[in-house]
This record gives sequence, C-alpha cells and structure tokens, in this order.
Amino acid sequence: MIYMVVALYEEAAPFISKLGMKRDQNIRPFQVFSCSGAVLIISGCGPVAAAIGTTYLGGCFPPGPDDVLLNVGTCGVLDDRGEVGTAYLLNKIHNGCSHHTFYPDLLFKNPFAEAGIYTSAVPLEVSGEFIPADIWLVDMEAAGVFQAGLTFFQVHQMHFLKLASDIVGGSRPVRGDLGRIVEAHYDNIITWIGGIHEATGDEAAAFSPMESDLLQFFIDRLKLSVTMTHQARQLLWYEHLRSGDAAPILQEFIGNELSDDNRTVSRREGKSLFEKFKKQLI
Amino acid sequence: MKNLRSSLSESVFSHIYVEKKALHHEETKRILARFSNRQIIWIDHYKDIFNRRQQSFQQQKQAPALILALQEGEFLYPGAPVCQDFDNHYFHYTSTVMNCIYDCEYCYLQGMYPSGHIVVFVNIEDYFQRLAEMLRIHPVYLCISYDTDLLALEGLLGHVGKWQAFAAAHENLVIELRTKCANVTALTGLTPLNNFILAFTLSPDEAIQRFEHRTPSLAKRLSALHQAAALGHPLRLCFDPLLWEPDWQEAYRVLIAKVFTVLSPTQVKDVSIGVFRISKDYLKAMRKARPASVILHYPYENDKGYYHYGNQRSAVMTNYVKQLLLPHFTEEQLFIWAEQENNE
Repeated sequence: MIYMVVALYEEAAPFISKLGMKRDQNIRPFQVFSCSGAVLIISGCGPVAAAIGTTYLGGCFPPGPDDVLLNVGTCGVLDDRGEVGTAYLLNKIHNGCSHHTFYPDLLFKNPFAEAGIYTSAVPLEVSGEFIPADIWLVDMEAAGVFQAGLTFFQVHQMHFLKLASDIVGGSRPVRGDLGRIVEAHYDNIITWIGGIHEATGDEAAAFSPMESDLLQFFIDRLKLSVTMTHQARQLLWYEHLRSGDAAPILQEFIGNELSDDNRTVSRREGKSLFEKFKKQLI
Repeated sequence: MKNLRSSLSESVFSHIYVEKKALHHEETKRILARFSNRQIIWIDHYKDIFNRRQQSFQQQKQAPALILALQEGEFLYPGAPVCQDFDNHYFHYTSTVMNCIYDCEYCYLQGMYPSGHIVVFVNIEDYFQRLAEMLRIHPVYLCISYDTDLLALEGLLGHVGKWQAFAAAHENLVIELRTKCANVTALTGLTPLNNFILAFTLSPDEAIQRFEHRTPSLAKRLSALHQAAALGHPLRLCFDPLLWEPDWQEAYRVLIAKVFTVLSPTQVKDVSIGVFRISKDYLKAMRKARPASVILHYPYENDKGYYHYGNQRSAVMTNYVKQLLLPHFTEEQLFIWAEQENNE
C-alpha cells in the first residue's frame, strides 16, 4: 500500500481524481481517500497537523514492511538556488521548532532534483539566519510527517517530495496554482513511487499452513514448555529453509511416535521425545 | 522482486554525508574529488545518520551511502573474546571504517550496527598518534580490518598503505589485515613487512556463492593469495568461520586441497581455525533482518551468551580441518578458537 499525506485538498486533487480514489465516509476527523493499493489523508497545514494526520493514517491502516509513505505537497523557495515549478526529493528535513534535523534514506533512483527543507510552524515571509545555510526550501509539514511516520514505518519506507510553488516573500500562489503544479508532476511521481512500492519489502518468510498445523499438533501433544516451543519453532524453521518443507520430517516423527491418538504423553515423556526429535534434525 | 530492486537501487555511494567539522580535512577533499557527481549532504555528526532509529540494514546494503566523519571517541579497543589473539598479550583492534562493501549473510556487523551505510573516519593521523602513545608503553598486536574490509576499499581510501607505513616505523607493533578481497593491484603496491600480516578468509566455493554475497570467488582469492605469497608478505590463512553444511567435510577437503595448488605451506606464517560463533543479541537482530537465511537460522546452542554449533559439533569440525592442515603445518602454527579456552 502507498500511504500519502498531503496538507491541502487542492494538492491532493490530482491523485484523488487520477487514481480514482473514494472518500471513506466512515472517517470523520480527516478526509481520507482510498483506492486499490493507495490511501491518502488530507492532514491540514503545519507540522502538528501533519504529524496528527500521519499518526491517524498509520493507526487506521497499520502498515507492513512492504508499504511506503509519501509526503507530497508544495513548498516555497528561499533564494535563487531553488526554482519554482521544480520537484524536489528531500534529503534533509530541518524542524524549525525543535531545530532537529532528519535524514530520509535515499536508496532508490529518482527523476527529481534533491534538496533539504526547513519546516516552519508558521508561513514564512522572509528568510533568515535561523535557516541552515545549505537549505533553500521551506514547507510546513515534512518534519511532522517524518517524526510521526517513524512510529509506523522504517526510514527507507518514507519519501518526501516537494514541488516548489512560490518564492518566499514574493507573490503567493493563487487558487488553482498548487493543483496545476502537482498535476504537472503527477506522472513522474506515480511511476516513481509505484516502482519503489513494488521493490520495497524484505524477503518473505513463513511456514505453510500444513507446517503450522503439524507444528502446533507436535507442540500440543508433547506438552512442550515455552522454551521448548521456541526451540521447536527454530528447529523447524531451519528445516523449512534447508529443505523447503518441514512437513515431511514432522509427519514422519508424528507417525512413528504419536500415531496412537488415545495415548496420553506426559510432560516428562514429551521432553524425552523432543530431545529425540532434535537429534534427528541436527 | 530482487531484479526490480536492483534495477531501481541507487548506485553505491550515490549520496555522501559529510560532517561539517570534517569538511575541510584534506582527506575529505580528496575523497570528494573522486565523486564529483554525487549528492553531498552536510551533517552535524555521523551518528545523525548512522544511529537513527528504525533503519533497515538490509535495505541500506543495497545502496549504501558514504559518511565522512572525524573520529573523536575511542581509537583503539581491546580485542573481543570471540576473536583470536594469536598468543599476543596486548591484543587490540581499531576501525577507521565502519561497515563493509561485502554482504556476508553471517556477518556480525548486521547485528552490531544500526545502519548499513559506510562510515569513513578521515582523521587516520589521530589513530596513529594514539597508537604511538600506546606503543611507548608496551607492544601492540592490532587488527585493523575487523569491522570492514579495508583492502576492498584501498583504491578509494589508501588506509592499508598508511597503516603499513606506520607499521614499518614501529617494530613493536604487529598489524593483522583481515580480508576477503582479491585486489591484486593494491597488493602489488604494498611492501612486504614482517610485522604486517595479510590474513585471507577462505571458504568453500559453494559457501562463498551462497553466503558471502559480492565477495570475490575462491579462484580470485586464491590468485590474490598466490600473488601476495610471491611478493613475500607474511600470510595467515583464516578458515574462520567454519560453516556447517550437510557436505561440509568434502567442501573443506576440496578447499584446502585447492589452497595448496597455489601456495606452498612454507609461504604461510600461521592458520586460524574457528567455527561460526556470535553473540546472542547480534544473532537475534540478524535473524529478524534475514528471516530466510538458512545459515542464520541454524539451531545454534547458546553458550554463556554466545551462539555456536555446540561443543561436540564444533570440536568435530575444527578437528577435521586441523587434521587436513597438520600434514602441512606444525601444531604451533595452527590457532584454533575454542569457547572453553576463552572463558578461562
């Protein structure tokens, strides 16, 4: 799933419309839209609103290791190092309130320019010495999304993309400008984040349903303690990885030692059988 | 998924984080000049990147960033109990680089470090100063390539050459450079020294292919070993870690036979033998990060906080390899890691 946190409806509109997202009418405090494979929240402006929105989204739809978070929106440019209309992937996020700096992981190729950003709690009219010298973008959300996002995502799952919409202290964008800027970059953004989403995630690893059932039967019949249960899982997981299927060895042992359904196995006998099983495996 | 991941991954060192206080160091300037088209990001401290919470070591290993920093803390550490001291009393190790460009499935760095990015401390002269102070008090046996593979980075950093020059000027210092690298060009540039030991880690070919990702093949390592021997470097062979597989005996028999097709035993100073062993906490983190790794999910035995194959299997493995080596070496040349000895 792609999780999107966007401050304003106008910035989110191209995604909602082109992805065919529908508003979830059961969710009231925020506007949340979803479609197959993506969910989007309109958080409102400011780092606190962005953090609350991110937390709300993560709480409503707990993400897994294959999911990605995208904070996308517009930002201001502080000086002529930045260019209005350009899309910037953030490599550095400076929280203007706490003066902590956060660094998103940039592990994937991208078609965007890269830059750092200063997240301000209030709209900035002028630049100043309080902004680190290597930063020339300013927004009001990225730091809030990053900090709240860490509750649900690992660093490499979170991506921050800001589209420069105006020059700080210059003329403000008028109605429709923000949507038009997002629209202009929409294809690039969706292709890029879609690729990352497909490639994100760790190697999948789980017992098959048959292995799980047999293991549970084995644990129950042998009355294994918590420690021995853990050992049994570890042994069988190793067998699963080594041979591709731990079911046959379990079936054989159960067939040889526990075939009589009516026989009660004492804890002591269970422990002895478990030791015998361990010797077979290692 | 893996193909897609690799096609989308950034290149190695696509991003370089530089501590502001390291920015004007000559070594920083030299390294940055090698990477003129990379993204340079200023940071206050390397730990702002390296020690972040919620990082994925495995994901970062696919496209590691380079972090250039100044070491300001400890420069030299006492050798760990799981490491062999080769009968040296003042056994220390040091890390001018944290993390490795290789990706061995069993590597303890995955459990030790929170990040897969690579940190280079550019102020190697401060390491030398601290070590010189220590050498004025007592001799030192120093391992310089435990938490990385320095030889694999020699083309970029030149740290091996610098350590060697330092060793040449200090007779009471013995340095061990452990490596899986087959960088023949770097080897050719090194002058053989009695107190600078090249220690090659060797594993069976199948183990290299399955578990030692991105490392040179056995053939390449043996070729490098041959070259190093011809140049006259003191050599240490490291069959460490010994890895258990159902056909491990045949695998190690073939490996050792191959070694002596390129090398005469007289060209080898000594040999290290040790089964895979790792601290409990590291293995826990490594298993979580690599849930499908057969080598990490072997049911190791916990022995006083360290996992290994268990005393019985460990003894069988080490004795078998020892017997294969004894026709070529004296007992004194074979150093065998044993948990019991290290706990005494």
